[in-house]
Order: sequence, then structure tokens, then C-alpha cells
Amino acid sequence: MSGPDVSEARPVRTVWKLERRAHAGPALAWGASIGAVVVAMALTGALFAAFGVDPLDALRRIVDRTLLDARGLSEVARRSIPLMLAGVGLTLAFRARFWNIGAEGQLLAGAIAASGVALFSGLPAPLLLPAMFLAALVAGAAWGLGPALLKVRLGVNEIITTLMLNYVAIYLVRWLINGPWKGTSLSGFAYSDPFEQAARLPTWAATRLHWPTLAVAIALAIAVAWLLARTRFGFEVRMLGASPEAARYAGVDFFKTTVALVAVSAGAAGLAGFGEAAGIHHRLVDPNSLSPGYGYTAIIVALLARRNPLAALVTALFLGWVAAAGDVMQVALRLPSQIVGVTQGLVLLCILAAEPVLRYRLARVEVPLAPPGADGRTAEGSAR
Amino acid sequence: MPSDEATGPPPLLQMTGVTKRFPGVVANDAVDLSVARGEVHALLGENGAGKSTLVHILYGLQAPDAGEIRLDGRPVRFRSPRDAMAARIGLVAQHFHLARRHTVAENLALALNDTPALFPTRSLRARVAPLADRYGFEVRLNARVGTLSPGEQQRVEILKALLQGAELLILDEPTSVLTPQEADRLFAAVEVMKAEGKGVVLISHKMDEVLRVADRITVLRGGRVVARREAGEADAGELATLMVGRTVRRGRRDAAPEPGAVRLRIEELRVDGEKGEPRLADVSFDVRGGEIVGVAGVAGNGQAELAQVLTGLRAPTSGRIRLDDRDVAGLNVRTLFERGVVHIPEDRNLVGVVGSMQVAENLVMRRHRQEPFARGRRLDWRAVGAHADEAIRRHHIAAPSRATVTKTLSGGNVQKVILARELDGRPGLVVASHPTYGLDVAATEETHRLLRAQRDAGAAVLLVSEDLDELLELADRIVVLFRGRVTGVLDADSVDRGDIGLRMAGQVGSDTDPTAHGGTGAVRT
Ligand SMILES: Nc1ncnc2c1ncn2[C@@H]1O[C@H](COP(=O)(O)OP(=O)(O)OP(=O)(O)O)[C@@H](O)[C@H]1O
Ligand SMILES: [Mg+2]
Repeated sequence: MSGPDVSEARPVRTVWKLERRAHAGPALAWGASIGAVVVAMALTGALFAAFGVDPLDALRRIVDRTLLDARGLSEVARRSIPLMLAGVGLTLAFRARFWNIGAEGQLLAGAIAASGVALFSGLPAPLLLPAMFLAALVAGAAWGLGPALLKVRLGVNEIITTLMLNYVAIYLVRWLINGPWKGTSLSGFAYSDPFEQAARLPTWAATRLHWPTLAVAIALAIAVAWLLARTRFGFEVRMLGASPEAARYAGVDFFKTTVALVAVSAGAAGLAGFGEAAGIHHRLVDPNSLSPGYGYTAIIVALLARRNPLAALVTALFLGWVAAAGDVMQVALRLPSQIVGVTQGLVLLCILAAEPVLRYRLARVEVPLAPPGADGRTAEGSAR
Repeated sequence: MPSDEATGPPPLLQMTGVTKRFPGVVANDAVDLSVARGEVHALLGENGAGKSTLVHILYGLQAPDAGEIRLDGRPVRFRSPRDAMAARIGLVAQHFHLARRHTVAENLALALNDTPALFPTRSLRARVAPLADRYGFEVRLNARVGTLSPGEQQRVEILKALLQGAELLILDEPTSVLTPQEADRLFAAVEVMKAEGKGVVLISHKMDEVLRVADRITVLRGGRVVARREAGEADAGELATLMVGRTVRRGRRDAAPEPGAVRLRIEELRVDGEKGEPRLADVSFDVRGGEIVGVAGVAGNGQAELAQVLTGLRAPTSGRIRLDDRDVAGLNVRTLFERGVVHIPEDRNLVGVVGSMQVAENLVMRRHRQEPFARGRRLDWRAVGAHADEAIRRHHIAAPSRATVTKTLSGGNVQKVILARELDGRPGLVVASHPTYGLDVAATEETHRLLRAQRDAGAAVLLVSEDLDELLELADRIVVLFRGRVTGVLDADSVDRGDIGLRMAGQVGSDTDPTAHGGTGAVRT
């Protein structure tokens, strides 16, 4: 490099300048996601310090109890399962710019349907789990279809309708467990009766890791990735998300495509509800215990993964770890439970803040201090 | 130039050694450009030569990797168009920069910083009216920009730049969708600016235009300046050769084959707009196989609606459309495409391509349901890739690779992607809106050749254009539209330009009650 000589010959001032970029590559997208997480963790550390807890010591203890311990690891994994299912589903919806904020309600709808089958269907034992699985899938999808139809037929904003249906689902569960489905065995508590053994998902060793659901989540992520990348449907979903006008010109059926993709997306959230009911609680319980906001956290999962379904597996593990770490914080560090929510909020904020990083780049600009003559341009030529 | 500085005042604009690299291309390679006060400086070059990039740098839309810009001798560095505007630089961009959800009046008000904070559009009408009148622009001040055709948007952009009263006006292909009369008026305005000692940078692919108004001409090729000419010493042929690096043969107006049977028959077509106002009414004409029918008219007189109805993007309110003796009125885009209707849409960037997708993907969209790209429900990316490489090569699309994000292509190259996709098969009906808008001389010739080849192969071709020269060169018959009604169906061989102009203005051929068709919403300001 002849840089020094050149700058001696031709005084050049280098300035840095933010510049719009046309396209951000995957390396940069990951960099921004990881950067967002690091900043969020630093901010959480500051929060810990404010509560009088040494952040580094806290981190060490959290890592000890979540990552360096088999039981802790299984807790991280089982927390990730609903996040994976709902999050992967949301990546599909978000790709088409269907802003589904209703995964929470769709999850609860799935849990209701699975519980209904478990408690009242009277199906023979071997059919019970498959029937619960299907019922949850259909119920979740149905919970999403209302908003989808309202959007494609009447142009109603799906953000509002999906969000409102979350509350409907929450109160529906509350009503069921306090009313018609209220358990007979534990009078006084608002639970349904427990599921029979055949309606419970197997878990890994003595943990709460209901591995069949985990397998379904991983398979779903692979399937959605394949769908998006390799099929006509996926191509049309991506066109719809990238440019509705061009998609129309390309003959994409807005109605059918939206309904189909929302069914998959919301159905996946319904499956998450099946996993929680059949794998963890074995009964229909209060919505707050059934899902500590998995459906909302799944939005972060999908956004942090930059709407990539395979990446959503990784980001779900990360947010599953945040949730598991929250348990440790409460129990071992005696921090308030809300701190988990605060951590998640910080992650989301940091992702949103990282967005401009993807849209702009820092460009190095050379400004000659004197008007260059004909030979002066070699300065740039040799900088290559 | 240093010598200028020694002799007289520094030029209005002096760009020196401007370099800009993008992944895989050097868009500007040490480009020098100077514009004196009272000068119109034309920037020529083939599609992808780097013209738009250079003016984007000048307007603060992009940062140069190297180089210097001086205005009146003072070095300047613009971080955004706001800075450029503050320095009294105006840009009529190739891709419009208007707020689509806002009305024309609101867009114009936004561009001015001396409008009152409350009801900014109120006083605007009074300011726009004389200006629009002077240039003969018909603008619908209350229409949302998103509902305007590109031609109408271009008028808004021009008005915006003129309202701002720039000292240095940059025009990036300003006349591509203007009628000749409107172009004349724009250039009259340019002459006034010249006389007032302002400067103009003009980018155009229309050689006659350039030779008429430019004082100096700079030719770019592959990002470098390859020639600089004074107006007097250049001729069209030489400039074309300099631009593309080889001689361009002008296509002949060859003898068309005898047209075949009627393939497209439109009868009493009526299309209403969003507010129930008629956008097309009583439209009836035929297109035969082996025939090119041109549609002439000022933008906003129903051409866009006609193209949309024929291609399934809009449903007709009433009337019949028959294609090869089958009723196709109201069929959807996909069915019509499968029946052989291809469409080069007017709004190429918004409708014609998905900007954020790869060139290869855009080369197969619409055809992605057909063999060999679709295998059942799956897509065969290998076939897509092979097709893309072939199309890029055959249509000379300047793209670093088939995986390039389409919106980073130059304006003309985006259009080449659409042309390659739509004109490659054996369609029955070709609906082409402004197909050569923004193409360089060589690509224009190539597109004309493709359209003629489709005609010769027996397709019915409907060519919507505001470029009369193009219509007269290609079309066998010309349908003139004015306020949604047909004011003439003329034989291209025996047509009189003045007659077409009068029909486009509605002064001849609109035999219906003049009050009946005022409903297009057009305000003659
Ligand atoms: N934002 C961008 N990112 C990557 N490449 C770009 C970008 N903008 C322009 N280019 C590339 O730079 C080159 C020059 O583009 P530019 O738009 O300046 O051409 P042009 O001379 O205006 O062509 P046209 O006549 O077709 O409008 C092209 O090869 C284009 O692909
Ligand atoms: Mg350009």
C-alpha cells in the first residue's frame, strides 16, 4: 500500500459519513442482532447494579444454573418450545407483512382445544394425543383466520384485530376454568381436572422437557424455511410482503395466499398451546400460568431472527434462556419477577434501534483539501 | 478547471474526480463535470453508465467515495437532499420522490418552506395555477399521488422543482413521459432559466432534445467520461456511437405483414374510478393479430385504465372485451396471463418488479407457475438461474450478477428485466405502456425489434405511448384518447401530426357533450 506517500502528495481529509444502503447482507443482519442482544444485556446489567446486585456475579450464577447444569439446560429448552413454535409461525406471517400480534390468543385457543379433547372427547388412549394435536392446530388457525378474513375482505387492520382476540382468548380460558370446565377434584381452585395419563406428553428423563413438541418445532422451522425458499407458495408470500402492487401484477391471489399463510402461522401458535397444556400443566390452568406471554415474546423471537424461520430456533433458545434466567433471578437473586419482562423489552428496543444500522452504512469519504489536478485522481485509484 | 479560475468567475457547479463504487460496479470513475451560469449541460450515456448516480451525489442522495463538489467556487458537501435544496439545487429525479399517500397539492406544499404551517395548500393553488398554465401541465391538485400515472407524477416533480426556484436544476430524463408539446414548454422554461443565469444539468436519451437545448454535452460510459462536446460540434449519430461504443443501426419502418384476424375486440368499454367518475367511456376498437395499435393521449386521459382493464388489474364497469373470440372482461391477472396476455406496466418500479428481490427472481415472476420454473408446487431454482443468465446476456442487462437486488439496477436496466420477461414467449396480446421510456438508443432499437417480432409472429400489440415519434414509427393504427373517450382511430401511414395533437387535446373528435366528460377530475389550472 502506497497510502502514506499518496496522502503526502495530495492532502486528503477523510471523513465518515452515514449513507443509505440499498441492501443489507446476512452477515450484517446477524451482526446487528447480536449487537442488539449485547447492548440489551449490558443495560440489564446496569439495572441489576441499580438493585444492588453485582451484574457479573449475577451473570455467573445465572449461567451456572441455566447452562452448566443439565436440569437448568432442560428448563431453557422447554421454555424455548412455545417460543419456537409461535415464533417460527410469526416469521411466515411477517414475511408477508401480516402483522400478527395475536400469537398469545392463538396459543390459548390451541390449549383450550387440546384440553377439551383431553377432558371430554372420550377417545381411546392411543388416539388422544394425535386428536389433541390436531384440535390445537385447527383452533389456533381458526383464531387467526378471523383477522385474516377481515383484512383481505374489508381491509381491517390486523394488528388491532389480532391483539383484541388475545383478550377474548384470555377471558375465555378464565371463564372455562371458573365455570363449565372447573375441576371437581380440587374444589376451590380455578383449574380444570387433570388430563389422564394418555393425554400427557412424554418428557425427557425427570425434566419438564416435552421432547415431542420440540421435535415438531424443529420440523416446522425446517418446513417453513423450505416453503419460503423452494416453493411457489413461498415465492408468492415473499412477493406479497415485499411489494403488494407487484404481487398483484404477478397474479398472486391475495385472498388465498393470506388465508393459507395465516392458517399456518396461527396454527403453529395453537400447537404451542397444545405443548404447554399436554406437556407441562396437564390441565387447563389460568392463562397467566399457561403462558407468561409466550405469544408476545414470540414476536421478539421472529423479529430478532429477522423473519428467518431457522434463525427463529436460535433466537427462541436465547429468549427461552432469558425466561429460564428469570426464574433464577427471582429465586436465587431475589429480584422482582418483572425484571424478565424488562429484559425482553430492552432486547426489543435494542433491535428496533439497530434497524437504522441496517439501512445505513458508514462510508469513508475522502475530501481533497485542494482541487486536484489531472494526476490527482490516482489517489483513489491506488486506495483499492 | 484551474484555468477557469484564473480567467473568470468560478463556474456555478464544478465536480472534480467524483468516484462512486457499488458492489461489483464502479458507477462513477473520477468524473469531472462543470456547469457555468447560463449553461445547459447534457449528460448522456447508455443505461447503467452512471448518470443518475452522479446527480444523486450532487443532490446529496448518495455520498461519493472520492471527489469534490464546488458551487460558485466554494467546496460543499451535502449530507441529504435538504442540504442540496438549501443550496438551491433542484432535482427532477428519474424515480419520483413524492409522498404517495398525499395529494399533489400537499406534495407541492411540502417542497416549499415558505408555506404557512396551517392549511399549507390553500395559498398554493394561486401559485401553481399560473405556473401550470405557463407549461400547459394539467395537474389534478387534489388527487393522491399514489393514484397518478408516472406521467402525471413526472409533471408534479417538474412543477415542484420549478416552484422551488432552483439556481441549478437537475433534470434526470424529465421528458420521458411528456408529450412533445409539454416537452417544448419545459424547454422554453429551461431557456428562461438560462437567460436568468441559472444552470441546468439535463439527462436524456432523446438526442434531438439534447442537441436542441444543450450548450455542452458530456458522454459517460461505464462510469467514465468518454467525450465532451460543444453543442455545435456534435451530431446524433456520433453521440450514439460514443454512448454505446459501437454504431447503432436505426430500425427501418419495415413493411408490416398483412394483419390477420381480429384478436382483441373492445366494445363500449366503460371503467369508473374510485369515486364513480368515468375514467373510460364508450371505448370500442379492435386489434388484429400481426398489428400494432398505438394509443396516443396525454397522461391521465384513460390510457392507464385501459391497460389495467385489459390485463386484469382492474375490472371494467361495463362493456365487452373479447380475446380470440372469448369473453375475457373481468378475468383476473393470472388467468389472462395464462391466456397469453403480457403486460409491460407503466409503473415499472412499483408494479413491474419487486425491487428488493433478485434479478433472477424478477425475471421469472408471473412465469413462476409454468414449466420449467415450476415443478409441481416447487420452484426449480436451477432453471430460474439458467434462465436469468441467458436473459441477462441476451438483453444486455447491466447487472453485476443474477443475484443482484433489482432496485439497485439503473432505471433502464430495470425496464430491460421487464421486457426480457414479458416479450420472451409467444403471447397473444401484448399491452406495452411506454416500453422504451428511459432506454438508451441501442436498447430502444432492440425493444422495437422485439415488438415487431411479436407482431410478425401474429400477436396483437397495443402500444401505449406519449412519444408520437415512437407511435408513428411502430404502429399501424393509432387510437387517440381524450378524457377517457376515443377521439380518433387513425391510419398511421396517412396521419397528420397536427391532427393527432388536436385530438389529444380534445379539440377534434370529441363529439359528445363537453360537460359529460368533465368527470375525470382533471382541473385545467
Ligand atoms: N444503490 C446502488 N447499489 C448498487 N449498485 C447501484 C446502486 N445505484 C446504482 N448502481 C449501479 O451503478 C451503475 C450506474 O447506475 P445509474 O443509475 O447511475 O445509471 P444511469 O446512467 O442513470 O442509467 P439509466 O440510463 O438506465 O438510468 C449501474 O450498474 C447500477 O447497477
Ligand atoms: Mg438513471
